[in-house]
Amino acid sequence: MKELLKVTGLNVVFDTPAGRVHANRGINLMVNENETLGLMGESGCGKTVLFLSLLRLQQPGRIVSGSIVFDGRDLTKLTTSEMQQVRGRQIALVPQDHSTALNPAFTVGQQLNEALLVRDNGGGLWKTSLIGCSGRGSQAFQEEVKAVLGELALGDLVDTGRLLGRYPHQLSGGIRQRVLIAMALLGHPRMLIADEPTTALDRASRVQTLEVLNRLCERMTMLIISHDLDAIRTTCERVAVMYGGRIIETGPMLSVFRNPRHPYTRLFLSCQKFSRGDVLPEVTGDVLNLIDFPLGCSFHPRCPRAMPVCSELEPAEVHVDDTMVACHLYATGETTC
Amino acid sequence: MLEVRDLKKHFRIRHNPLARLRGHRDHIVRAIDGVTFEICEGEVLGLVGESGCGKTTLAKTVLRLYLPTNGDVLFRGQSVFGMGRNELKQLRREAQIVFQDSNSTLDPRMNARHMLEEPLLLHRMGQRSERRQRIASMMEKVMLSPAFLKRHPAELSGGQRQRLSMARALIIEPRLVIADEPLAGLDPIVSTQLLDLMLCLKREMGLTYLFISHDLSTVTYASDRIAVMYKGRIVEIIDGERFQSGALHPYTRFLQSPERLPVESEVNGDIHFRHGNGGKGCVFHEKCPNRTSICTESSPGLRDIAPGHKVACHLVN
Repeated sequence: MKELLKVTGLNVVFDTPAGRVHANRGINLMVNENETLGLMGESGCGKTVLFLSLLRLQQPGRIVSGSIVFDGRDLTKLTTSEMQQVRGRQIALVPQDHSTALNPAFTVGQQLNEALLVRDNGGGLWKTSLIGCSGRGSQAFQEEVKAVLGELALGDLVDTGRLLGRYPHQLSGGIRQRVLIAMALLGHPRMLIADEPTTALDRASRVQTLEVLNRLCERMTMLIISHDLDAIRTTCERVAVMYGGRIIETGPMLSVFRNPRHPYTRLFLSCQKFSRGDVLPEVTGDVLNLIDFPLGCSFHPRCPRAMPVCSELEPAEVHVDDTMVACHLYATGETTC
Repeated sequence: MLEVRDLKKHFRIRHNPLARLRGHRDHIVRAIDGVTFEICEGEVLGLVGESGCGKTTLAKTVLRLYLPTNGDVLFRGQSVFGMGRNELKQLRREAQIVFQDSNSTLDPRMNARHMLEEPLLLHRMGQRSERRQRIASMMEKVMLSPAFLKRHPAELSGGQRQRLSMARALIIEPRLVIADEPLAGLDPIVSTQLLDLMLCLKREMGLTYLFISHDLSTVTYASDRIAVMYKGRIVEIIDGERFQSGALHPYTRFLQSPERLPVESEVNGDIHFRHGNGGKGCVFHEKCPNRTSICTESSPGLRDIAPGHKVACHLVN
């Protein structure tokens, strides 16, 4: 399989009055062509900063070191205008919050039109400000939009005229989410990043969104960021778990879900699977403060299996069977491959 | 402790004249349409249902934040809607609500101390030093360090904000707490932590909860009894222990199963028109897999099936 994206040693920092926030610390990540990678982690662990950096949208943060190689080109070295060609056309983003990501003042049709305009003419403001003018309300536009929406199971709504002329607030969350996916797909990207595609959706629309994503996985490279385990389980082939700005475990989805190796992954997975009568998994401590790190492994203050070495040395990434783990438990002896 | 009798809340949607010319007719949204249940002292009643089924409206109406169209709510035997000024104030002390979105329910310009002190001032509880003490002990109970007292909501993470709104509701020592989706939008680790905290506080302070959520696993975990709501009606009330295996209503079974319903219409406006079904037929008949002719004609009431188990369905005996 061909590597499409390879991130090596990515460090992203934010300088704030309170100190320097290390949002990403030495991220190593690889996504193959036509593969779906799921990225899990609690809020505040740096997931969002990671994929914003992939698109170089991390401002005011800075990429201090590391490389992001996409299809043979290092994205960190591109100029702004070259980067603009990558965004949307090579890597497209489905933003997290479907209620604020669409412009409330334009209809869905106008906004899909805008996505097409940007794709065909480049992202110049003077051109995109013409949205709402029906210059491209042509047959070609209609058909292209319809094809994409049909793929997202919104075809009937277009046929009955109940989608393109509507404003975002008139649509339910599930439809808005799929409209956002459609906008991303109109650019014919090679890779799609979906940020929390199923949170803030109710059950029925969540299942629908998952079905859509599932169908897309078969023909696209995707990076799905979520803490919804069901979403990850149904769509992804490989998963990566993030904690404190580092990727602490990556591996094939089934292997990680059945046999989580890092103590944090175990804790994370157990928090969604409890049933009546169980003792709730013990969760101590608060979200990690990314300014003052504990020395050594960033998880050791909360870790149930912490050892003396954990508070001294940062664990290296170790291969255990088919997964990669950054934990001292596997650094020695027989568990290492 | 709390008794809700045939409670109804209908909202009248009025359009402006221009919209009326374009064919938008005024209509009534039956947000809650005849809900009856009771909560006993010291119990956790879980309320589940999909978004838009009327859970939040029910929570607000129960505490007289909305006036109902019909029906009554009795708190310790006294009608909530017939209360005078002083009685109402007493009700507000004993029954508190934790709203859904801590982002928008905490005043962005108040720091944590002011927010916790305000309810004490409103209810004239304690001298200055005593208030200080209460605030400190409350912060300890919800596991926030005293350093957070000076912080504004924007400086707190989602979990911390939610704990602060819990603290704000609990500081006047209420008996009944209505928690409206307290865990929504939090990541799994933080929400487990918060659920644990809520159950601890319940034991410690002897609280009664109405726990509203659309997440089945947390509700099943935390509740003594579970009420399932659909389109403004309660379709099933069942003991928490039997919920997984013994639920009978087709909608409840759908919620538990991984399949999805046929969705006949998804554009919001249309859902509202059908909301409550105009009182004719079972609320679930359009999507029900095993409907018969009677389901489209008459609306089933909540019937006792077994002790502590009520179902509103024609087909269940």
